[in-house]
Amino acid sequence: MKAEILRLEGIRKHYGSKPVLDISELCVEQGAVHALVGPNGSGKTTLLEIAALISVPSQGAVYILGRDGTADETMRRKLRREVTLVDQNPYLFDTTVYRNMAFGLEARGLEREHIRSRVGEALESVGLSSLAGRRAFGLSAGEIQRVALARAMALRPALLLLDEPTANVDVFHVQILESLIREAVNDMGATVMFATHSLAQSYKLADSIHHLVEGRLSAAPPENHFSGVAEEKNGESILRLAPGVRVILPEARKGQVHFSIPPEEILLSRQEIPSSAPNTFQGRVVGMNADRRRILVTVDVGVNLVTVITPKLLDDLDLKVGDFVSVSFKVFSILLY
Amino acid sequence: MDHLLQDIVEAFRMVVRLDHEVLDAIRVTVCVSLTSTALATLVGVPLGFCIAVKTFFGKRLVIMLFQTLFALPTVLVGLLVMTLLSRRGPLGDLGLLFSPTAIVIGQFLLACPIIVNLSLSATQSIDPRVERTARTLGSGRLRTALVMFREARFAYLAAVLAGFGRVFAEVGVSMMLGGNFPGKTRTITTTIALESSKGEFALGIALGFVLLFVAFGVNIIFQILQGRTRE
Repeated sequence: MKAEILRLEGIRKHYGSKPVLDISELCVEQGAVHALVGPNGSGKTTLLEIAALISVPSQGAVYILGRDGTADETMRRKLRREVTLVDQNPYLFDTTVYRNMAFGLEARGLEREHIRSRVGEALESVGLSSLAGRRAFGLSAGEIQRVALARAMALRPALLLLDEPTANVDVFHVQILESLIREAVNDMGATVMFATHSLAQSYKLADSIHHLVEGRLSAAPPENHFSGVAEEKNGESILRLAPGVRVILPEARKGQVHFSIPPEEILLSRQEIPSSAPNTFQGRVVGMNADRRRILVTVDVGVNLVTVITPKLLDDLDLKVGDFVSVSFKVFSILLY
Repeated sequence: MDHLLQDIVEAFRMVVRLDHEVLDAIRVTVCVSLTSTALATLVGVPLGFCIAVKTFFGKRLVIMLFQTLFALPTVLVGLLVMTLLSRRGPLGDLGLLFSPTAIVIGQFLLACPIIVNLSLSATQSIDPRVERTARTLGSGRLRTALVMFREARFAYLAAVLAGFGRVFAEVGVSMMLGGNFPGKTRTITTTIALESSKGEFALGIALGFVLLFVAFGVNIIFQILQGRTRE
């Protein structure tokens, strides 16, 4: 088992009386990419701020490399140099790109020559060596994001925290940033933890995924998430989930695939309805849970599929656990990772 | 009307031929104004910064106090400092009354609240991400403060210029504390007041041109810096 780089224990964070984070335990192993997945407002940024020791939890302890970062200010300042957080909307100081890059290294008391070589390497890794002398305020959003990432990488932190690193950049820059994140782990031996609301991105990049829902870690994977080996038949890609349960995929794929079906995309009816949805299955209702104003209905069709209906529809259908129902979804409602 | 035109023409001549009375008044004014502004900057900028970033009991009251002092009447400052420096005052033994030092003390008290207030506003308007970014990059308190200061440098410079503009053109403090001795404590504004009271308008108008020129220059620099801050 790899060593732990970060451990959060009994973390609670309140803004006023409003609880925003409640983490009983989170362990992050060294030398891997970890994704923190959750919708907007689920507490991802707050968790990263606490892990970066720039926000103090209302309760609980943060251990970085086994040392308690919440114990006292001296230790917090010391450990802060082992962790670097890159914000979703990073700020570059009103000076040159080089001076921005050198800032953290100067704070660590490195010699000028050493700083120069580190900055050069980091800028080269993000393909922005030519921008060293440029003023930061004239850069594009994609360039700012890359410089901010390079500025953090130049510090060679043990733990690199990235808050929605690709949120404000175009598709081209997303690919560059994603490959840089992998390089940070493979070449520098860093541990990266990034927050995202994109499950697709987390499956693409991360070695482990932590789901955050309303400030709490959720052990369960997202609803209707499946993986398996896809095969091609009659020009269609098909994945066999269970005996008699074959899902037609939206695009030609062979080999291992991950996909999910959003619960709100699954149609539930008492009887099979003729429709354009080729993925239609019969099964038995095995669970019903109220979630805010929605009812989550779990249907066993060979595998469990979760669909969501309104309380009124629940009454109209007079649905009970054990009832036989039909579920269907369009090919294009499947999210392939 | 003819007299006024003659005075204006004479005033131009005095400025052009660098009349020694004009030059003396400019020299004294520049010396005391720069000294008082420099001292007020050394105190006012760090004080404004600290008030903005620190949380302490009575912070609102302190800010209100400085905002009130922003419009401090010059004669009131003159009176206050005169009371302290007069022979019977607590600092009378220092013999500073009617000296350039006395003017500097008075002007310092005038400029300081302006520089404190504008530095406080400058600090409050710094993007919160500056401090956050500096901390995430492992910066300590001093380095973080320095980078914040650097980010708002034009706004701080504008605060200093506003303080300089205030003391350069004031008359009450210079008149009450300086005593209007030629070549020693006679400033541009006190010369204008004195010469005008004697009916000698030419010198007053000449110095008025200088004041306007400096005020215009300071205003241009102020506008440029404000523009740079907003960019």
